[in-house]
Amino acid sequence: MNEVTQFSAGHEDLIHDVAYDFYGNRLVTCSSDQKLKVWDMDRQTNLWVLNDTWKGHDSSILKASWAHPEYGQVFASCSFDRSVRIWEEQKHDAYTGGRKWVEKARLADSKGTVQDIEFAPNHLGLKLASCSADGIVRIYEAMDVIQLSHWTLMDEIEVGTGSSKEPDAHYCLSWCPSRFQPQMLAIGCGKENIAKVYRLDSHNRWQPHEVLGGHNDIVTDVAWAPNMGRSYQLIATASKDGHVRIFKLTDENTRGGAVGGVGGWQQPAAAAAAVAGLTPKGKKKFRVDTVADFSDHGAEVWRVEWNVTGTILSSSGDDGKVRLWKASFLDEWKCISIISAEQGVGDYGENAMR
Amino acid sequence: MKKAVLSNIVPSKGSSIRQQLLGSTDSGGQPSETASTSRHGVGESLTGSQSLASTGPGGDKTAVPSTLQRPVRFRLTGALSALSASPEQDWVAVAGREVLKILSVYDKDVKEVLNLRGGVKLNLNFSINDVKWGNIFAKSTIATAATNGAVAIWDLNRPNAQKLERILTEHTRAVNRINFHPTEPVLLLSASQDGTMRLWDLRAKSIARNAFEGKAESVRDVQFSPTNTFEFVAAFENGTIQKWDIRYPTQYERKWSAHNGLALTVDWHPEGRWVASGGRDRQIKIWDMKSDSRKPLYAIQTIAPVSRVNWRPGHESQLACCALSTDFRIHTWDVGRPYIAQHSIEAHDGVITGFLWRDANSIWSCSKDRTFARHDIRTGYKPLSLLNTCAVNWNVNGDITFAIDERRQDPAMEDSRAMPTGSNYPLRRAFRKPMVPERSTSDDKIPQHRPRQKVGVVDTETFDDYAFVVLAQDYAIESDDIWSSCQHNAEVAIDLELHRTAQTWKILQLLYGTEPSESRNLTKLFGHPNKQDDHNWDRQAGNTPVGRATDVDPQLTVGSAQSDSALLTEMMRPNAEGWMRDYVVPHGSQRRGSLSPHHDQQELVTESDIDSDEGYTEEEQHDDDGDSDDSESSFTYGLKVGAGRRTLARFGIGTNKILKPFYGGKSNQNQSHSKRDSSKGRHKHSQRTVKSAKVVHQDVVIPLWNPEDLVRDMLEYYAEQANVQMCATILLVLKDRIRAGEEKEELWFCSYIDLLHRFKLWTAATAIIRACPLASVRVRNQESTTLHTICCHCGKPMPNIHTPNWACESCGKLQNPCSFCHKTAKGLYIWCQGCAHGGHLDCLKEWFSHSLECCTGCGHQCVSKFFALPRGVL
Repeated sequence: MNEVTQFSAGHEDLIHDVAYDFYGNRLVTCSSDQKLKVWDMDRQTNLWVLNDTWKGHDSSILKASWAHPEYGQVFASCSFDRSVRIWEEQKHDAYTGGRKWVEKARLADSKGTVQDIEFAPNHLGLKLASCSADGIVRIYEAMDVIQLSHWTLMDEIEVGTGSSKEPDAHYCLSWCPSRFQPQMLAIGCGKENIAKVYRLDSHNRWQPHEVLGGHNDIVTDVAWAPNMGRSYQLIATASKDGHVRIFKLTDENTRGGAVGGVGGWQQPAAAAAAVAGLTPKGKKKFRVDTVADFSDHGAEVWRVEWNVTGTILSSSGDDGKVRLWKASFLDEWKCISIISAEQGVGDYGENAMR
Repeated sequence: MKKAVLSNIVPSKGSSIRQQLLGSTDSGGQPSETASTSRHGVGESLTGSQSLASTGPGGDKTAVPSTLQRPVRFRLTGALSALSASPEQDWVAVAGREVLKILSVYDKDVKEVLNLRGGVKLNLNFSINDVKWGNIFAKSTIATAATNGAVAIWDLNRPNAQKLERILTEHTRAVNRINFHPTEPVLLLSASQDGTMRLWDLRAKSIARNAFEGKAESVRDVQFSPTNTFEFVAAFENGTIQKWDIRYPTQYERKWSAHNGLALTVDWHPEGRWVASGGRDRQIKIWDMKSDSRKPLYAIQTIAPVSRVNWRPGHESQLACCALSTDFRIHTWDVGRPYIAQHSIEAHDGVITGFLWRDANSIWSCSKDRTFARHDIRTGYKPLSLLNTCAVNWNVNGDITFAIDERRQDPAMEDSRAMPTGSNYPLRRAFRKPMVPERSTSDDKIPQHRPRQKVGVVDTETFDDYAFVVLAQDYAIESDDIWSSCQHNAEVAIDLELHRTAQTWKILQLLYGTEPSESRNLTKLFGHPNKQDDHNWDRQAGNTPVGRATDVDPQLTVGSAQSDSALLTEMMRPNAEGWMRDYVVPHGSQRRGSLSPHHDQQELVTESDIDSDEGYTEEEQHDDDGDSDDSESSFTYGLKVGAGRRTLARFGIGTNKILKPFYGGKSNQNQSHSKRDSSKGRHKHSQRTVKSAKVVHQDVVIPLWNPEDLVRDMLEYYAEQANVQMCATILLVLKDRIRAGEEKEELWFCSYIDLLHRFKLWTAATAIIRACPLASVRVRNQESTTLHTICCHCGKPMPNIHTPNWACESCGKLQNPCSFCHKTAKGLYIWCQGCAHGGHLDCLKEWFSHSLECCTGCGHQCVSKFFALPRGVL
C-alpha cells in the first residue's frame, strides 16, 4: 500500500475530527484549540491547501459534519462549549469583512457538552442530530434551507438514564443512511455501556428498539454502514474497553420473504406493499448478531468509520493505529491493514477488493 | 528600613500604625515561624487571610492528603455570594444577602459554628456581596461588604450580640469586593460600584485613609500583591485592569485593556509577578505586572463569563475558575495548555459565587444554590479523558485522513509541573526578602503544550476510483443490443485490467446476447454450407460454435488476460467445481448440492425463436458437433456458447428451474424480422409452441436452463461487494430480462447515482436516471430541476411556465426576435455563431442572398466571401 503522506494541520492542540465533504474535495479539521480549518484539494499539486481557519467555539471542538452539498457549502460543528454551530461558506466576502465562513446559526439547547453531531442522510431533508452529555439527543431541522438561520428542534430523545447523566458520560450517534428504511439512529448510551437503535415510529415518536450489547465500558463511537444493496444493515461500535464490534441487523421480514423462495424477489410490488402493510414499521424488528469483536487495539478505541461503500471499517484508538477491517466471504471479518503515522502502512493479507 | 517604609505608607497617622506593626512583628516571630516551617503546597495566591491556614486544627493539613477527600456539602438558608476561610482553622465564613455564618469544615461533614445574622434584623447593611476573614494577625476579624455600600467589621471575640464592631459607610454604591492586606492586619481595601477603591485603616474611625479613583467605571475586584506591600490590582467594568501603588493614590501605575466588556476578577500569582484576570468575554488572561506589553502572556478561553480566578497553590502554572452564569463547574487550567482544562468539578447546581483553594487539591466553594461545598479536584473528571485522541475519515476515493496520537500522556505526567510534595513553598512577606526570586524576565514562559498527534493522508487502495470513473463514463447502458453492449463493456473493463468484471460481461453476453448479423456470413463460411440462410439463424447465432473467434476482439482471446484464459480453461474442464467456487457465486457451495449427473448427458438445447422446424433441426445437429469439439475449442475464446452453457449445466446451475425460454421473451433484436411478432405475449406463445414441437421432433427431453438465478446470484455477489456500479449497469443492459426486486433495484440505482454524484459525474448519473426502468428513479430527473429564464432586455425573471415566453411581461419586448423582420421566431431559428444574431431561416436566407454582413448592422461578416450563398441555393 501507499506511504502515508504527512499533513501538517497546524492545530495547537488535539485534533478531534476530520471530515471530508460529499465530494471529497474539501476537508474540515476541528481541534481542541477552538479552531476550525477548512482545506481544499489542489488538483494540480494534489495537496491540501488551507481555505480558511477561524475560531469556531469557546472550547474544544469535538466533531464536524458536512451537510449535503445540495444545501450549499454548509457544515456543523459541536463543542465542549455546549453549542452546535452551523457554518456556511460565503461566496461574496464583501459583507463579512473578508471572512469566508460565517456562522449561520447557533444551537444552544444543550445543558452539557455536545459530543456528537451528524447530518441526516439527504433524503430526510436538512436535519441534524446532536447528542450531548446531558443525555439528550436533539434533532433539528432547517425550516428554510436557503436561510439556514432557523433550526427547529424537532425531537428530543432522552437516552440517558440516572447515572448516565453524569458529566463524564459519553454519547454518540449515527444515522441509518439507507433511504429504504424508516428513520433510525444508532445511539451510544453513555454509562449504560450499550448502544441502541432508535426508530421513528408511526406516531412520529422516537422509540428504542434493538440493543447492541456486549460492551464492557462506554461506547465511544458508533457508525452505521452505508448500505449499497445488501439485505442487512451493519453497525460498528468502538468502546473504551478496547474493542471494536460489528453488529449485523437482519430484517426478519425480508428474510422471511427470501426464505419463502428465491422467486421472492419477483413478488409483485402490490404484494410487497401488502406485506409491509401487515407489519407496520414500528413493529418491524431486526435480528441483531454480533459478527465481529476485536480487541486488537488493546487500548481505548475512539473512532469507527465506514468507507463510502460500507465494506471496510476503520477504527482508531489510543494505541496510535488505524486498523482497517473487511469481511471476507461468509461474514468473516479480518484486519486487512494497520496504519500508523510513523512507519507507513503495514499490509495485512489480501489487498482489498478489486 | 522597615520604619522608613512604614513612614512612607503612613505619612500622616504613622505612629499608631507603627506601634501596631512593631508590636506584631515583635511578637510576630511566632507566627512567621509557623508559616515558614509549616507551609508548603499552599501559596498565598489567595487573599492573605485565606492562604494562611496552619496552626491549630488545620495544622495537620500541611501534607497534601494522599487520600481523596470526599466531597461534603452544607445547605444554608439563602443564596450565598461569597466565602472566606479562617486563616488557621478549618472554619469558613459564608455570606449572602440573608446569610452570614461561620461553618466548621470537618473531614466528613460541615457544622454551623456561628450565625452572625441571628440577632440582626433585616438590614441592607448586611446584604452581603463579599466577606473576608482577617489575616493571620487578625484572626478574629471578619469584614463584610454590602450591596448598599456599607462595609461591616465584625469581631468574633466579642460577646454574641456585639460582634458587629462597626460599619464603614463611605461608598455610595454597592461594594463588590474587599481585601485585607496580606500582612497588615489593619489595612482593608474595598472596591465599589461607585468607581472608587478605598483603603481603610481599621484603627481609624470610619474614615478611609485613601480613595483611589480608577476613572474606569465600577470596580469589580481588587487584590493586594502577595509580594509587594504597596501594590494592588483592580478590575474594572470597562474591561481594564489597573495596578496601583498605595503610596500614590492619585494615579494608577499601569493599566491594561484586558477584556472586552467587563473585567470581573483578578488574582495575583503567588510569586507576585503575574496577575490572572477574568472577564465577561469568557477569557482568562495572564499579565506580566512588570511588563508594558499590551498583550497577555497567556490567554485561556472558557465557555462562560469568568467570575472568579484563583491560582492553584503548589502548581505555579495552574489556576481555577468559576463562571458568572451557565456553567456550574469549577475548572482548573494549566496555562501551558490553554485549550483543555485539567480538571472539572460539577460542584454545585447553581452559579458558583466564590471558591478558594484550601490546599493544592481541596476547593471550598459557595453558590447561589444555597450550599457550601468542599471538593477534592481529583474527584472531578479530567476533560482530557473525555476527548478522543484520534480522528479518521474516509474520502470517497478510498483515501483516509487520520489524526492519531501514539499514547495519551501518563496521568502522572500531567501533574509534572506540580511542586514535589514536601517542598517548601514559602510565604513571602512584605518585610522579608522573598525566598524565591521573582521571575526575572517575561521570557521565562511556561512551556506550551504541543500536541504530538500525527496527521496523515493515506490511499488505502480499497476503491479504484479511476476505474470507477472510466467505467461510469464508458459503459454502454442504453443500447438495445445486449450482445454489443456486453462486448463493449467487457472491452472497457479489460482495458482497465478488471478481468473479473470483463468476464462477467462476457458471460452475460453469452447468456443473453444475440450475435450481430454480420457474423452470419462467417457462420456460413465456417462450415455450415448446407445451412439455409434462414432468418432464424440470426437469433440462434449465439449458439453457433463458429464465427465467434473472428468476432471477438483479439484482446479477449486466449492469453490476452490471464484470468480470462484461466477461467476458460477451467470452464472446459469437466467437474470444474473450483471454477464455480471462485468465479461465479459466493454461495457456490449451496448450488453444488443440486448437481445432477444427468445434466452431463442431457443435450441442452437452447430455446430459439424459430418458426420453422427445419432450421431448428439444424441447430440441434450443430450443437452436437459442438460438443465433440469441446476439447479442441478450449484454447480459443471462441468456444461455442452451447458448450459453455453445457458446462454450466453440469454444475446444475439453474437446471432445476426450467421451462422458461432461455432467450428472454423480449430478446430484442436489432435486425428487423418480418416474421416475428414483436408483441411479447404472442412471442412467448409462439415459443412455447415451438418448444413442444421440438421435443416431439427430437424425441429428447431437454431441461431448459434458466440463467436467471445465476445472474441474480451474480448481482447479489456484486451487491455484497457494494459494487453497485456493476449491479446497476447489468440491470440496465439486460433490461427486463432480469429483475432483482423493485426495492433492491431502486437501492442499487440510488446508491449508484449517489456515488456518481460524489464523483461529480453528473452526466453519467443523468444517463443512468434516464435509462433506469424504475419510475421512482426516473422521476429524479424531473424533480428539483428548474430552468430559470430571464428577459434578455431588462433582466427580469420570466415566469416559469411551460409555454414559451415570447415576450417579457415587464418590459414588453420580444424575446430574441428575428433580426431581419423583428418578429418572433417560432419554429426554425438560425443564427450566426460569430455575432449571435439570427432569425427566421427564410428571412436570413433572403438577406444573405445579397449580403455578406449581418443584417443588424453589427458589422460582422457572417458569410465568408468564398462561401457566399449562391443565389437560389437555399
